[in-house]
Amino acid sequence: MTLASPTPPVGMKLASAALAAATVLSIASIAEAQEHRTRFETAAYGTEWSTMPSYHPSSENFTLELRVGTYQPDLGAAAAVFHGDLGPMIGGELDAHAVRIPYFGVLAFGAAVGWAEWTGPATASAASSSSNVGNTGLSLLNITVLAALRIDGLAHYANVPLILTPKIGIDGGYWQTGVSGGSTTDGFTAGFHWGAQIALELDFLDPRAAHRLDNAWGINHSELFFEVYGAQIGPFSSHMLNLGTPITWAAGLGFTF
Amino acid sequence: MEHTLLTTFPMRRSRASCPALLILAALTCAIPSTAFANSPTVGAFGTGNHMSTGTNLVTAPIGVNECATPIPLTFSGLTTASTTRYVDVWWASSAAANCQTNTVRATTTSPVCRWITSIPYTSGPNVTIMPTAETLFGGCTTDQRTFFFFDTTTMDETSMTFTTYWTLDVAIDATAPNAPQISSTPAGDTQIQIAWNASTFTDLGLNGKVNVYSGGACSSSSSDGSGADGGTGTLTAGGAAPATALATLGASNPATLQTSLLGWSSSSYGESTAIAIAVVDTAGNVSTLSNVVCAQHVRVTGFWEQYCAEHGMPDIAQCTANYHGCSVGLPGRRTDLGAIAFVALVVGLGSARRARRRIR
Repeated sequence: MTLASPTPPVGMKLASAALAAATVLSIASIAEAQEHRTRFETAAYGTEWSTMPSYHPSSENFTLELRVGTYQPDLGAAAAVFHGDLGPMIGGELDAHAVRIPYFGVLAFGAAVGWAEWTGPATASAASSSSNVGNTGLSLLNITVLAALRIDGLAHYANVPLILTPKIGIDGGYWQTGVSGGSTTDGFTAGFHWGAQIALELDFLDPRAAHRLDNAWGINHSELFFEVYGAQIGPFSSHMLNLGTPITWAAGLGFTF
Repeated sequence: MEHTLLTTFPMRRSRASCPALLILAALTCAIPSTAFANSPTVGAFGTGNHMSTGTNLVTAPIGVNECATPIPLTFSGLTTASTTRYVDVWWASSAAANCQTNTVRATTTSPVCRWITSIPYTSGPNVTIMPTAETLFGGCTTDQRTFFFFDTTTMDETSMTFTTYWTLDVAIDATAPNAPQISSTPAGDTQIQIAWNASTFTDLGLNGKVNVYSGGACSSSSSDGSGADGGTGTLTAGGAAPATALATLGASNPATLQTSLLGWSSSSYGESTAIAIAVVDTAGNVSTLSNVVCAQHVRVTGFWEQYCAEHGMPDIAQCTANYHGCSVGLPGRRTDLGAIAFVALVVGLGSARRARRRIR
């Protein structure tokens, strides 16, 4: 067997281009940030001239994401039984911040778990006047170990509340399939994972509330994110079910704490 | 005459005593006062579960098949006396009737408060009486009444006003549901889906059920009732349901029946069995039979069969063995030459770039 080298989809190219552009933009903003005070150095955040109580942010060590999005595995013609079922894929991700790159971002390592199920009508193999013989389904429990580069310099030093995060990782999935009331088949599959995320940090909506959240719960930032990602799960072995997808999306809520 | 029972007698609850911050307590206090005015400790009510929640019994009426079943009602805190005392049972025309007042209860045949029975006891303080719904209602027709219970020294006490008493709402539902209609021919392998017109039934509630009956060989409207294939008896559309059901399922649509109950096995593909259903309402009343349909035993295929066929493995067992379990592993070192070539390419490019830097 040879390692499959799928043709990069157009979406992947676009995502890569967007990521590169965003990276350049963030680097450019850093230079500008050198000439401006950061938001933590303004009077509202507690200099000696301020009448407001000073705010001392707690340390940022983790990012938790709760996500939902569509997922349609590349199963070929057999997937037609699911009539285009898009999942959804629901899950979460926890990243531990490992290395902070000053004025740029943080390199994080983490794990994500996601679950999706696709269902459709089963069919009777023999001649039958009934069209209702139950459903057939396929479910996937996917675990991803990943590295992520959270480029938060824009949000922290340039007052642009955006965080850009490219991700790469390895997927390991457990799948199960069967028909209503029938026997099921299951197995494992594995592959590679990539993702590109853009997040809107919500602190700017109500900075005081964000600070209170930090003081009370240690949550430094909360954010809404949108992520495009893809997975090459299974095409590397004839014993693996191909449950990858060239490109899809997820959205959700993230917390940095 | 004002009559006051023992001070240890459980008193009528008041909404004012509800702890406002305790949701559970608030819910308890929100129980309609007509349901359990004095919170008697009550056992099972008939064969159903009519009193388990302590809420108004109108939501859980008694069915025809429970009318003759003794209803155990246990009262706590009654008088401990060596002489015979009575639990006086009165029927009220409405839940708002003040039957505890002697003037309202002046005669035993009043249309507002009517004496039903007096049940003697001597072994207080915890007393269980066992009236039937037929006794309380004087029959078994659809009805709904509020009953008052008093602790008295004489039967059909009419002269005293009681400050402590129990009330209880009881309803009889003597109307059976209409016959259901199976809307499609069920077929399946290890289970069949019986689609029926569940949405047209309004009194099934949470306790509603579907009884499934089988009747052997098929015809368009009835069965021969041979008992073959797990047959429960002759099935006639619109007729009375057999005494024994093949299975009792929840009142969901479709109802799912395990075909092992029909005696189907891996050697019975192609066979068919007559089946019909009847619905059972909240009160336990059973409808007449639905239309009789022929359930077919067929092989059912799904995604997996199609995927295996598409990948050149029509033998499902072989296909399953190929993909099942941990045998998947990572790409084999010897066979996955493409992976090796890819890694070699990446390493080579990296080395070449480093070499160019050194030269500069």
